[in-house]
Amino acid sequence: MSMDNVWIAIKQAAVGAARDVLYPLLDPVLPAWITPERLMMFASAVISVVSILVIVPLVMMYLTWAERKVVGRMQNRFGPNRVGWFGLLQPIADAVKMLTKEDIVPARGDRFVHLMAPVLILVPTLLVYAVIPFGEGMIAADLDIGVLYFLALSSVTTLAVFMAGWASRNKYSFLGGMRAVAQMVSYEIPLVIAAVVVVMRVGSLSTVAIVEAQAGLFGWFVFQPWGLFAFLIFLAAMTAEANRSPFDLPEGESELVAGFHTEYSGMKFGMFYLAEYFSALAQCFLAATLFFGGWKGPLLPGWIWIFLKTFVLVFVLFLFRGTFPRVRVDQLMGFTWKFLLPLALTTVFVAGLTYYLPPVPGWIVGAVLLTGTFFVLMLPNRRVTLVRRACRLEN
Amino acid sequence: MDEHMSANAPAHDPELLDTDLLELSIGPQHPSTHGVFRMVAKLDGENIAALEPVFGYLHRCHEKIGESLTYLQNMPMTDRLDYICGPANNIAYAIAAEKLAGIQPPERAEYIRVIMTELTRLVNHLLLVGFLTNDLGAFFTPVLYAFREREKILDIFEAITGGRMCTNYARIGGVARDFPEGITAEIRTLIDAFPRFLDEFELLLSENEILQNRCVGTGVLAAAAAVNAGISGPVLRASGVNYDIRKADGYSIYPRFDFRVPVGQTGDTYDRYLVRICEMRESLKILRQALAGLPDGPVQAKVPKLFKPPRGDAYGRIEGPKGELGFYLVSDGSTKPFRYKVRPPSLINLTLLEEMCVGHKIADAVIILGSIDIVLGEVDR
Amino acid sequence: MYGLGLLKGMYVVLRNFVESYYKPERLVTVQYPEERRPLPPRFRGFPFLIYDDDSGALRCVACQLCAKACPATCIELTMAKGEDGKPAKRPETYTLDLGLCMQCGLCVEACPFAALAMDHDFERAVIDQPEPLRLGIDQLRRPFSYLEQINPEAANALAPKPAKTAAGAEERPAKSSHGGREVTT
Repeated sequence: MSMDNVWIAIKQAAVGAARDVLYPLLDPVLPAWITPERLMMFASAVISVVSILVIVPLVMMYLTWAERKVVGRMQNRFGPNRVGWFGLLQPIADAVKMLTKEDIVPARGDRFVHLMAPVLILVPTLLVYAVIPFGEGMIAADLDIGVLYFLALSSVTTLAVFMAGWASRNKYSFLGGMRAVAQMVSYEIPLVIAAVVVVMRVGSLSTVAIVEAQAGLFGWFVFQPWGLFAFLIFLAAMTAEANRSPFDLPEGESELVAGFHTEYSGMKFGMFYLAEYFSALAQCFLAATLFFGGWKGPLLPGWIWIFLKTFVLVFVLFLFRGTFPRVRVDQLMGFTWKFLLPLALTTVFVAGLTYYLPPVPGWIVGAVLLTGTFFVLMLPNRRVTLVRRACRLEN
Repeated sequence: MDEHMSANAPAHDPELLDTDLLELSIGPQHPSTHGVFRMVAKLDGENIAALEPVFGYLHRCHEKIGESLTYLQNMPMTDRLDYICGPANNIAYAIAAEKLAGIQPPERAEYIRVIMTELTRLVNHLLLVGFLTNDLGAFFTPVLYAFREREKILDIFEAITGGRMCTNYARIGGVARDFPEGITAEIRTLIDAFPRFLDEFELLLSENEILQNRCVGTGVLAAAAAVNAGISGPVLRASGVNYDIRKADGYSIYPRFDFRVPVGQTGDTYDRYLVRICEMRESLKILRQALAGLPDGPVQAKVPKLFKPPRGDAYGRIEGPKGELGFYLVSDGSTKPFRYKVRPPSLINLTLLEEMCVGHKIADAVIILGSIDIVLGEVDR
Repeated sequence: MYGLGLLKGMYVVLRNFVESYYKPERLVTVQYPEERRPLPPRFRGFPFLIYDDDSGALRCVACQLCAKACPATCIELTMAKGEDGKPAKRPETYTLDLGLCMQCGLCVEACPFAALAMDHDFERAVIDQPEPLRLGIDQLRRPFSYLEQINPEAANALAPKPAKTAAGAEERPAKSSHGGREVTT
């Protein structure tokens, strides 16, 4: 019996228990508007929420561990391996460290906003996990507007970043926060357009419908030319949204201090740290759903497939972190507005065009058009293309 | 940090908003300034309008102390100048003292000195290239690759001299002790494996678009300005001036070796990086030739135990990894120098920092500083 | 081409990652303190005073040459007085100030009686109580067999000290005293 069935069975058992045991037990004290059906819905929702709240933070904690080990190996060293066997207790040690630090609030800062910013950055990034299908039928809330819900909530983090920069009452945090907001807002647009490409072809915003539309191994959208380019744009934009290398200007040398989260210490800083990883993981889940067929795959149960695909994407993010230097802020903006955005719009056009063409010619036409656009777009970005230079060797 | 009017605020259009220049202090405690170094930058938005380097935080009265120690006792002190390139400092000082007294070291000592200097050049350039990319934000990966190779060279230094960075190896009239058994085989193994590492390093970095984006065109140094300011070393050669003291001066036994001098084209940060990579390859050539031609014999000339050079002065210089490292010694006939002056390449190369940085963004200032390759031990002495 | 340089970089890092699992040269960490790198024989730690294994007597004759040679002036020593009140050729006190010593090895080079050598000890950090920084003779004595163990090359060069005659004249050990000497400690 695979995990999907186990989870559904647990849900059904809970629903059954709500109807048969809980309702009759609490009947005398419940007001009239709490019907048995509503109680069953509540029980089902509680199971979903609890499972997400238990599993996702655990996965994320060990994602931080995995990042340090993987990036360490890329740099020819072990990662953390002192705290517990293979360093497996490292995330717990980090959490304890953050909890025991003094909580400092800047004296002239806005206390309420300073407190709300970490909350506002963490809660939406957890809420988006509701629309990710972890398997067949394993989704917390099968919304008809799933993708829209996801993208809208992940934009709320921008506001939280701005609040953090504002509340610190520190010129450099403020400027760093503004820069972070500029980066995140600019990269929203290619992100959304890349998602729109898939939505347009599927005809529905529901994540379940998107996964269902990618039947068979080569039915994954990434094997279509428009899907591949949309995925690459989504990958670049996702890296910038999560403030990870090479776009980690907000937390790198931005104005020479730590950017918008300078004035945060202890668990509040921990929240920013967590939110970055939650957001990166959620975006990888979405990418796996939109482009790689979600939980579909032969032999293994669905939830293993989606975790595998997500972890491959997360590994790509680790590889970016280990390899690339940081992009400067004006180059960052140039990259999105002058390169990603036109490419994304062309991808939408090509996706629409190939809808009306038969499969094989459509594939070829799409591939040719998109590759051509890719090279044409390098012309205004000539400054960034390859400079082949070598030293003269003189006697 | 308070904003305040700068004395040389740029003349502006009266229709625009009245703005001030923001004065920002980078350092002295900063992860990217390679030591305790402070840059006071006046910013106009993101762009640098003026930049003033402030140093002296590591001043240790090296030159004054040098006047109260004998010539031999000064040798371990020179290690601490440019603490990354220990052997090179020792050798430069020994050359200066030998010029003062007219001593010629034996052949084997000269070859050993050349081997140590070129190994030091490798050590220094590896560190520089690693930390330049670290300043760019590449999260330590190139640093650790470069340090992996650097550790092998430092192990060789330790086997020969007893110390990794503070080697105290050269003596007036030669070197302190001969190579131990088997070290030439180790050096040969290292040299044979090194080009493969350099190729991998170049594959990782030289064509990386992000790195090129950040480095091409930043911190351009014109050749005329460089020559006028007395810049030397890879910074000068990257600006297009073919001046290498090993070729120009022909000191020690360098004229016997066949190597070429890499010269850059535009003098930006990318050129400075490329010149150093090419210099590493040329150093490998010199090392191979030196190891092949290493003669037998003594490693120290006959020098009296208490070294008392005649009255006079001498200036001894070498092509150090950072530039022209020179020692000016004035002797009054006693066992201690009357005046002992160090010509630090890092300090002289720093004088043009403002000219290189003005007009660029604040994020570039750190990279330009990194590409000049300073070590505060040398700048402040 | 845009992107090709990035891909090459990613390929290099990925290759390092994969090879770190089976190639030892790609995972160069030495897990200190469980594993230690062997120190080369010429490693320069702090200096120590050599005594002969059989007699237990220090070779040092308190000639003050090491104290004069030290650039950091970290050695202080006084000569002992014999039974007849005349100076005896051994040190009464010999103090090495660890805070000043920079482990340059000039004292070892200066000593004509082969009484000093450089140790291999570098792990001097303590966490519970600060040890005194000025070491005396008792903390500085090590037998000649110890030198043979850590630095056989130096031990070969510093031949065992020959017997002293009553008048104080002794043969020099097998080392040339003036220029051209090769110091191999």
